Amino acid sequence: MLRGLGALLIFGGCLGLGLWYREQFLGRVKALERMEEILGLMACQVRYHRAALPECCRYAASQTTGPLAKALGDVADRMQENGGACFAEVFRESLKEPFQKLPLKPGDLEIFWQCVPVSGLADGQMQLELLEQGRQRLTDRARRLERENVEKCRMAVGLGALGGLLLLLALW
Amino acid sequence: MENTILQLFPDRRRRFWQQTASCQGEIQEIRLRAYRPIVVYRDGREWYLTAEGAFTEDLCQASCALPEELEGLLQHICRYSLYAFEEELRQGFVTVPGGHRVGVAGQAVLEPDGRVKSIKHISFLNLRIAHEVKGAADGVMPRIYGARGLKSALILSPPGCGKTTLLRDLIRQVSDGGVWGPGMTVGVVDERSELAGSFCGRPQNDLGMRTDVLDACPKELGMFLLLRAMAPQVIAIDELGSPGELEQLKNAAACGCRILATAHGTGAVDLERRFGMGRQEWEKLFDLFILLEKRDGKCAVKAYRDRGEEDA
Repeated sequence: MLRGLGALLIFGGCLGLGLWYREQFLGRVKALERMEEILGLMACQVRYHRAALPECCRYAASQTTGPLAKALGDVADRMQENGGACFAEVFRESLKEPFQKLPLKPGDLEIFWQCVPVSGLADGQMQLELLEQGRQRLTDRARRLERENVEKCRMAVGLGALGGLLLLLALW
Repeated sequence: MENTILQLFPDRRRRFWQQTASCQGEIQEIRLRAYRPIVVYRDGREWYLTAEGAFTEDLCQASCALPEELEGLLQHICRYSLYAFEEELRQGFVTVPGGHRVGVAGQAVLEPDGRVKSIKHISFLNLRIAHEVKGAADGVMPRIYGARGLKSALILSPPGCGKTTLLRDLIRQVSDGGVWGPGMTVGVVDERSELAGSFCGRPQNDLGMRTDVLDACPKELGMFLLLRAMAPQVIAIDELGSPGELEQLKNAAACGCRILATAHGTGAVDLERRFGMGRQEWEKLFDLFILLEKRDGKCAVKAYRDRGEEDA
């Protein structure tokens, strides 16, 4: 009985690990889509209202939910308070924490940060293109990962389950 | 309004500007030129700033502005989104919180048709500190209200005699209402953001509780939009400049709006010469003409002329 329970736990643990990896793969795609959405909302404000970046953040915060929305709202609030801090610094500082909780890779974040240069651009069209390019790169990355994920997810769950079985056979 | 100067500067320079900001009420202008001494106009006198930010009259101790500082300041003023202030920069100034105006100069980039596309290598900044003079129109109020309520008025004077200040306070008092009459809905077309000093569409100066401001919009178009959308009882514009604007004013007057406007000039002759419109035509538009002048360095009303009255 005890042996059976132990075997079940080992198998469950290994399968769980496989599922966790699967969630990580899928979560990364979702996180990339959230980033895409934020950049899209910001681009929309630049395109139609020529809004300054803090206002774009305020708008993006109002149209999204969760920790990222809160962080974007904080960026807008801090810039509104006008404590004298540079926008890019405030933006990175506020969004760093919620991004850390997402299964993102440094390369994903780099694309996002590049959309908000330290010195604001003088040409609205260029700013818009910067946001759109970043968005496009994130979209491309998400689509590529989506394609890869079909195999990866299957492999992660399969490896987890098979690993568990192998461990059980070895320990039995 | 207090200490709004300090907010113009990024945090790394705020310590330097602390002393200047503490005297905000006395400061008229701060001029920054790349590699030139920073000049502060305080109580009509020219001061320099030491490396610690203290006032000095000794040029040898004067601290110079670096191009990076100007760049950082401009970025901060434009909320790190220069593109959002493209139009303002093209016109050569940005209005900032507090109603202050930052004039910019550098190298103009022209469109093929000769219009200014943008200004690059910005090396000169002029921070003009706003001083709202509430009560500036107190002396005018008894004259501007008649038996039939508010009169349409044109304020005339050469530059620097306080036309805009007077108009701003007139708008506030007419909008809020008081002993002279009930509050009225005022529509302001603030093409150069001088009246309301709007920043991101929000007036930084008090223009009264019943005032709607259309900021940064050409006056001619703005009057049309306000008439159609906001149904103002009074339309106010600063610096009447083109025949098109005059036509739109006539349209507003025909809709029953009272008009408050300013124009450069010293009298009826200047107006006639500039707009090619006779005295009778002007009197169809305005009931009262207020002439301003500078007397002993202070702005004052030189004369009032009601419709039908002869020049003094």
